[in-house]
Amino acid sequence: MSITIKHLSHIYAPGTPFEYAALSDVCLEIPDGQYVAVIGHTGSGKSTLIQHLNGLIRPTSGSITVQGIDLTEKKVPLRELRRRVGLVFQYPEYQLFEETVAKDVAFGPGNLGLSQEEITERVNEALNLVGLPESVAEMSPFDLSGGQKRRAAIAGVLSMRPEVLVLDEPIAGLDPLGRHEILSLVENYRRKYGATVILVSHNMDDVADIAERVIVMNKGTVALDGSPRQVFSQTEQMRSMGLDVPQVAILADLLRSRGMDVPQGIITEQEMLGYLLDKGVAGCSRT
Amino acid sequence: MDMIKAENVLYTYEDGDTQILQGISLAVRKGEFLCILGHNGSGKSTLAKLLGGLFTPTGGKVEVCGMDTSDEKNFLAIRQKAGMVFQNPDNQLVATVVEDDIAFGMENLGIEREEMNRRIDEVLQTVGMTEFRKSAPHKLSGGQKQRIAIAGMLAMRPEILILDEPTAMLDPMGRREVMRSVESLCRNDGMTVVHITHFMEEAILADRVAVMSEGQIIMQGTPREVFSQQERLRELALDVPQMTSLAHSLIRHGADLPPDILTIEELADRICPSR
Repeated sequence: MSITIKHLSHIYAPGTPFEYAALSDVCLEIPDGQYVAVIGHTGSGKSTLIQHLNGLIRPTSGSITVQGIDLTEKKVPLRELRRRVGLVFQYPEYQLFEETVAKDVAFGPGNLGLSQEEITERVNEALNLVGLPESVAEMSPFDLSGGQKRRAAIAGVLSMRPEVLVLDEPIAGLDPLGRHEILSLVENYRRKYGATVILVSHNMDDVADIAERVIVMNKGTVALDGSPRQVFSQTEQMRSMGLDVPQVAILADLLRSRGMDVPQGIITEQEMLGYLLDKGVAGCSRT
Repeated sequence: MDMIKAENVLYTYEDGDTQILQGISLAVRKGEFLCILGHNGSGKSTLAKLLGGLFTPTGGKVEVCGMDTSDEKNFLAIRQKAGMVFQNPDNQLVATVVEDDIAFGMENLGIEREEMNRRIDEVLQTVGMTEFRKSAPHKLSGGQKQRIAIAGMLAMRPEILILDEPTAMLDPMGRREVMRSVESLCRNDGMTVVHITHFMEEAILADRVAVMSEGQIIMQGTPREVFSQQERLRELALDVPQMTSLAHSLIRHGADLPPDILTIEELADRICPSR
């Protein structure tokens, strides 16, 4: 099981004056359990790419196989696909609709033909995973705070226990604590179920800390693909695509240009701290 | 001169249970770039709406350019003096062509057609969007849309811009575009700016940073003064700029560095001065 994308192209409104190639000739192989970050500026094709993963849109050409399901077949088992691939949209809190948080979270599992006990168990587990207290379960989702609403909405996807969890900018608009909460709940879910995680984010410092692999989209193609270390060392190329690199990578570049031997691939605050302590800059030391 | 003056402002939503703002006093000087930070739910968006006169205080007083926002006969004049831009770029544009969108506010003020055209040229240039005058707003990127929203405000010649997380939904490039426009408006054109954000890198640009928690302003000062108090900010679930954080870690290990480092260049200069 894995995600295999071969020569995937997607053209919006083909044959009209608005024809637009959002993806062209994308090839990717994502093994089970990998933590992948997808970055790219607005219009780079990253949202189009992830919408293919649970069959929301179909390829114009090329092929895509997700967890053994071929999405180019005439009859794709969409129910099964969407049970196995959970997609958390941008600002998912706008999709809350039920009377209570518990009912909202139960909506997905309720459509899987599970017993009531199983549904209740899944709801409790999902709320627990996202760190919402039991007292919240019977509240209206609309009475929660912004951060709580988002976590409730994510719980609604986790209760389906997807094998692949796709999140489109899940931390946009949150304060630093809220960002940390969401990223750690994703990590907890991933650990517990060995799920593949595909995270779209603009926050390079967070991406550098958590992802195993970074895919950079630019103009509908895969521009860079590698470990955060490999990708974020390409500061020039990243900037030319209108993207940020982690601040530490910029500092490393600057220090190198002034003659310091900062190793390639230092991208997180902890790594830079370790290097500077070893160097004993400004009189600091390890002890 | 104070463009905005808030005195002991209280605010309670209609349900009456929660006191969102608990006695805020704040003055914004002419030409000042004030940044308001605070975690989600700290009351900063509510404060923005009060400073712009969209909400009126349930206690205390807010004055915009000397006009009491609670006095109904000031409503229109205040809207003209203080332009507001919000988080979601898709909720703020109304017309199908950029120039019509910018004209919308002016039409309501009854401005002459020629003058409108002049101002449209001028404000599009200010936000660097001249070539998009005839474009459809829905075809623009988020950063471009926010700059059009700002241009629409500028066309009404406000004296204050209040920006409520205008960059929250944008990618890094869009964020930079918007902040470049805002900074230039303040520094070159003397606009008074109140900017609300979660991005510490944006707060570095301000003259003054006010930190809110539980409906109160609990820290205030230059970015340097505020961000050098890393521990206090962490307690409030806020970050400091990454370079400040790195400098503080080095200081804990005995490095001789000032606690108020903000930028990459400042830290690099201390570690390894350029020759």
